[in-house]
Amino acid sequence: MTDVLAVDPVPPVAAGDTPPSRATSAWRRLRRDPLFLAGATIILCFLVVAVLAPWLAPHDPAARLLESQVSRARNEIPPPQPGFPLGGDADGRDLLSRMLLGSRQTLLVAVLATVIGLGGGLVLGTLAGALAGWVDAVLMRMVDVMLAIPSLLLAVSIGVLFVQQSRFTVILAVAIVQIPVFARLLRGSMLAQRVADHVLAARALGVKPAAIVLRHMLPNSLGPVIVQTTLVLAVAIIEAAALSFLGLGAPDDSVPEWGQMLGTAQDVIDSHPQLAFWPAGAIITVALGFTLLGEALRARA
Amino acid sequence: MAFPRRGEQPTVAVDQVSFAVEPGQTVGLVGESGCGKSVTALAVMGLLPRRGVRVSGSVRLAGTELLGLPEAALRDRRGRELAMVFQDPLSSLNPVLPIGLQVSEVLERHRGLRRAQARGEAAELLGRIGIPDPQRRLDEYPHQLSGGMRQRALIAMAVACRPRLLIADEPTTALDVTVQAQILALLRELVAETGTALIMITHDLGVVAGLCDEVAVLYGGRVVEQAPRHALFGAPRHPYTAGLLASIPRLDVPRGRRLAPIHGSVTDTIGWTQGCAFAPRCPRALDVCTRQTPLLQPVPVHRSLRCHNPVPARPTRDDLDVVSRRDRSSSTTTSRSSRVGRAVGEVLVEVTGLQVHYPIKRGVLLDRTVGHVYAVDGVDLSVRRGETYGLVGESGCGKSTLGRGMLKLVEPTGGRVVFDGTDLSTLTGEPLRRMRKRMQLVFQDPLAALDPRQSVQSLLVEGMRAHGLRPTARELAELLDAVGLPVGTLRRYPHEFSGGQRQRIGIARALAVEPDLVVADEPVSALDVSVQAQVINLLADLQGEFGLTYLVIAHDLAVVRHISDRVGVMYLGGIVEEAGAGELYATPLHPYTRTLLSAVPVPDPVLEDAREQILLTGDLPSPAAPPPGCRFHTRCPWRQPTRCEDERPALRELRPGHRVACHWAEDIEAGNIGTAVEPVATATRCR
Amino acid sequence: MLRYAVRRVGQLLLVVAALSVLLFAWLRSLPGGPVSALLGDRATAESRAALAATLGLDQPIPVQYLRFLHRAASGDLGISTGVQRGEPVLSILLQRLPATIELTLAAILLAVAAGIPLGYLAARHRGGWLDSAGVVGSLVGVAVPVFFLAFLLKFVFAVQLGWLPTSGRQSAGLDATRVTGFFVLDGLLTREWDAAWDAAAHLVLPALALASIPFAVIFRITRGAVLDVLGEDYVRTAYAKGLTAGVIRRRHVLRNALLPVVTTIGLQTGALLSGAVLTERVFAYQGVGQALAIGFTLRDYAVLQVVILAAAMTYVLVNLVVDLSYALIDPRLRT
Repeated sequence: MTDVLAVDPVPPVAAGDTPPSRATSAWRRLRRDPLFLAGATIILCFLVVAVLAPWLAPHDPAARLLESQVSRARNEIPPPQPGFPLGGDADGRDLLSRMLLGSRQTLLVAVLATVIGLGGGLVLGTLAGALAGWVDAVLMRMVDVMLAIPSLLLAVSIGVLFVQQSRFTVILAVAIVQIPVFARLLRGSMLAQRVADHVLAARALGVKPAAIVLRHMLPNSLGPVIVQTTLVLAVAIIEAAALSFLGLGAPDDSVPEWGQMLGTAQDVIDSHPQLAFWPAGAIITVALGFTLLGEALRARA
Repeated sequence: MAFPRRGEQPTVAVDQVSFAVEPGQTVGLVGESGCGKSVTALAVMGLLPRRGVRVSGSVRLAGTELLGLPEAALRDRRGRELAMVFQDPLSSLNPVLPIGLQVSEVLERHRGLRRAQARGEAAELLGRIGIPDPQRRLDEYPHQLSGGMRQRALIAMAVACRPRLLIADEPTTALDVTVQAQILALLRELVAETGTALIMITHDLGVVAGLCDEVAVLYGGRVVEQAPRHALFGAPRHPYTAGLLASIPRLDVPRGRRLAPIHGSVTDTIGWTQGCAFAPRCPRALDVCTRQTPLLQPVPVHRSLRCHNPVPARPTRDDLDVVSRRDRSSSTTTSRSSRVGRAVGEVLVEVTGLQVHYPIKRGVLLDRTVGHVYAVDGVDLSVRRGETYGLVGESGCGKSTLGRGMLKLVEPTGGRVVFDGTDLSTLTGEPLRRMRKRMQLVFQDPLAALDPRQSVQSLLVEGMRAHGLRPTARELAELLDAVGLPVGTLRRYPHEFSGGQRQRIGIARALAVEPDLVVADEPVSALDVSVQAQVINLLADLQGEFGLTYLVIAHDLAVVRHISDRVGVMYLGGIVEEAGAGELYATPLHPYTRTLLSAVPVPDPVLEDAREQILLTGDLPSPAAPPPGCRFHTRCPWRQPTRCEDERPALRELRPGHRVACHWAEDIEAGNIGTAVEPVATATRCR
Repeated sequence: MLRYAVRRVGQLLLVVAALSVLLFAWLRSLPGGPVSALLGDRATAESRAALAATLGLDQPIPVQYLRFLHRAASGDLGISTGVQRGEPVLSILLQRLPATIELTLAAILLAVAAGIPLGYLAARHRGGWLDSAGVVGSLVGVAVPVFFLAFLLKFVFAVQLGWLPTSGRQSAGLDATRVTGFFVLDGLLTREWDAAWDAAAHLVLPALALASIPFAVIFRITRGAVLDVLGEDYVRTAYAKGLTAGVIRRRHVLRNALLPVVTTIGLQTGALLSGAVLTERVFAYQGVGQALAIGFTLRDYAVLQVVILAAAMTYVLVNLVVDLSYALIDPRLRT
């Protein structure tokens, strides 16, 4: 606000004691942020479940143990019963086991889609930001065109290109949509870094161009990208569910995934809402967890 | 009016600050960043946030106690009885509202005028405040005005209702020196005309000396010394006041004096709870200073002083040079005297006809070049080995671009730079990169210039590695020692240092690759006054130690005069005058140099009152459309018909080593040509 | 300003041209290509070749593209193969577009009407209960899949409570006069109040579901922008001028804070169109979104290609309008 309140709070440097680095002091502030704590707790639980799922699950998620209780004609599915606390799904498989095992595939979808999107965005964004000029112009017009198509429509358009739908095509469709998002974000902060004094200083020092890009411009541009990555983890899970809902999910459901479970539950949702509510609740919770982490990082960055 | 008051926070920002301003009088609050001067102003205005801040004491305006008044009552008074002008005129104006509305809304609010009526009055007000063509300006937006015009508009809003009290918080800090002179003259007129009381907040002692009747010096949130200006500047008693006056380069003191910096930085304050906050930096500190908090006590004549061991009452001019003990003990050996024997050798850098034109691109689908910004437009200069070449000019004159163009950090669009026999324009890629080892850059904002992710060690080593140097731990330690940083700082990060220390890191990084030439772009302007002297002295010492050649770029004329051997003055992309530092400041020949020098306030009230000022009219023309002929003719008080408009004057050597780009320099010097405007003597201001 | 507008329109044309090429390429690279898309996988080689010749697929690609453009320019956007089998795509589009516009407009109006005031209040009372609730609510709002929220709303308010209709744009058996294709507007224009009421009732749940994400985003951006503006020097100047609280709020705070919000509203068009596909499907609401959703399941490429292009053009167009209106609000952009 005024120069008075901008008093440099850093104590004079004295040899010996090491004051906290920027990263550690940021971490200290994060640790006290309730949003961050809530998000971290959710994600931690999610990861633990995903890792331990095979041991936690009481039954084989693909085994139609309760098939006898399924009646398509009378629209009946197995209700909760001893040994099957959530009951069965429309094929008579244990819902709890499918929920637990589903966490793994959901994690896989979120992480793979995000990593592919991030990777593509990093390459394009770095190229555009580092080379500028016509490379930047061409890449960004391409990004403009991709961003002009609403994200879900783009994902679906990519999805239908594959002859055989599978989990991987879902991941790829979700990932490609994120590439232009990451690319534009990174490019923006790279271009800002290009004219930053410390980059000019490195040029003046005679540091090699590649080293300037990789050591100075890129690391200092990653802040917003990291925040976006956390948010995209949430988006990927939701988009994958939306693709399944539109019938573009993986047809093979022997290995369960929440989005797929939610998508296929739509046919029976009016009579058996629990088939949708369990995976939906799980998706919302995990997506909220990632979003909380991302927003906390954004606020404290 | 009297304001004995104190503001308290868990951290006490301001404490026991008391002063009174009479109608038509000006009180100056002086201090460095963090001393509490702006907090004081905001407290008087009642603008401090109500939550989390406690203000106690008393603020009385014409007998009415303002502290504790309900917000509604304060609102009625703000803008009507007390008003404020802020530091940064651009951010202080609403960017989406026309200027006229921003002025007239005050009139509507406090004088109950109708929209049309207020608009007419606003135009009149803008005109009175020196804004040409006010009717048209009413509908313009802040971004369309120049810095000086914006500050005038802000002042117009403040004085619209003829307030009893006007507070100006660093009103000229963001402005160029010629515009500063205009604004200060305006404030002076307003005080004299309207009889308003003015509180002037500034870090610039020169501004205070010329403007204020009474001066209060703040340190760490308390007044340490307060006196009428003649008494204060004539015989400063508090070691901090004396230290400030001795640490700044001054145009009124002969060159060659080594600056006496105040030790440490403002962050070294221990607070006032036990002892004197200034004690850790004070050359006169006694044992008692760290044990017992000094009180503000009246001292004859009309002076208040908060010090256990003040400077003796009758100092001579030499006493101003109270060099701090620590500084003297550490560096007398490499003081300025060593520079006299410094060998100034052959030409190291030769610049001929250098141009840097930035294209202005615009277009529907593909960008076309529709014009150019002539940032640097035909500059010739040479820097000899071992000398310091100072480049001065106002913002936008192209001096930074020139510096960067010389280093080929921006691509020159014309002309040549020959560095030690090598034409830089022929170099690209790897050879250019290797050449960079020999020419380095020091930046204005040391924090921005240091990669926040690099430790000091990594910052220093990176450049050395790039040029195949493999420094040992001892060499790094020596480097740190040379710039006055403790060895233990190698593993620390830029944000852990104070501004002055960061600049030392930046200098160390430049020196690490053992360059011949160092271009220092405003090396001290982002630093606190008391720290500037440390860095200036350091630069001088290092030059002697490492045989460096400097090109120092600065807007502060006193700084440039102090450190330069030769000085070039820039205006709109070209050098208009160049001479030895002593010669240039003693006998400026170019009209622009004359006006520039006459605009610089000097921290001596006697000289200030006698100073003849040549006030420039108008603003700096846009470097995208520079005037034809002499670039300065649109503002020149000595301009002569046709030739000045038609022919661009070349740099001519009028005296040995003194080059001027003016057709009429001899005639002006001889007094054959008078100015269109009469010089304004500041002493003639009406009181 | 004019130059700016022309420049933006130029960019728009560029993007649309590129999009049409992209979609053309997309159609050609679909599994089996358009022939399989039309005839299915079991067609004979002869019929395939015949169809390819009729469709001009034996021509070089650039020729094909020009023909495609030529036909599109004369209004021939192809024939639907799945959504409304045999019907021209153009007439499907004209029929369904008003429905989607009605829905998305209702959603964005809801989001703006709730998001901006709540965002302002949250910023003004930072750390208060409204602020905390708003921040948490907006975070949850982003985390809930739109189609699930739509299901939930339908399940609770239509299926369980029966307050509102479960699906469609109007109740069966209602005979309303159609003027514009915007059902609510039609009802108002023809003074058939029951028809207007019926259409509005059908609009409530889908609009609410669709508004969730734009609301969350607008709320957050408004809150952030107001917080930023409150810390600006010019707001301090306004206080120093002694202006009344109302003037400071309207003229100095909101006016500046709305700049980023306006941009955000434009950017939400994309999310709205994506959301419309899902919401319309859940509520069997006969708009272009539903056509898309069905089109994807039935691989009706003729419909998909046109609707996606239309959606992208809408998105670009809305953002153009937003950019231009932004320049009207912010004098710094008028050059």
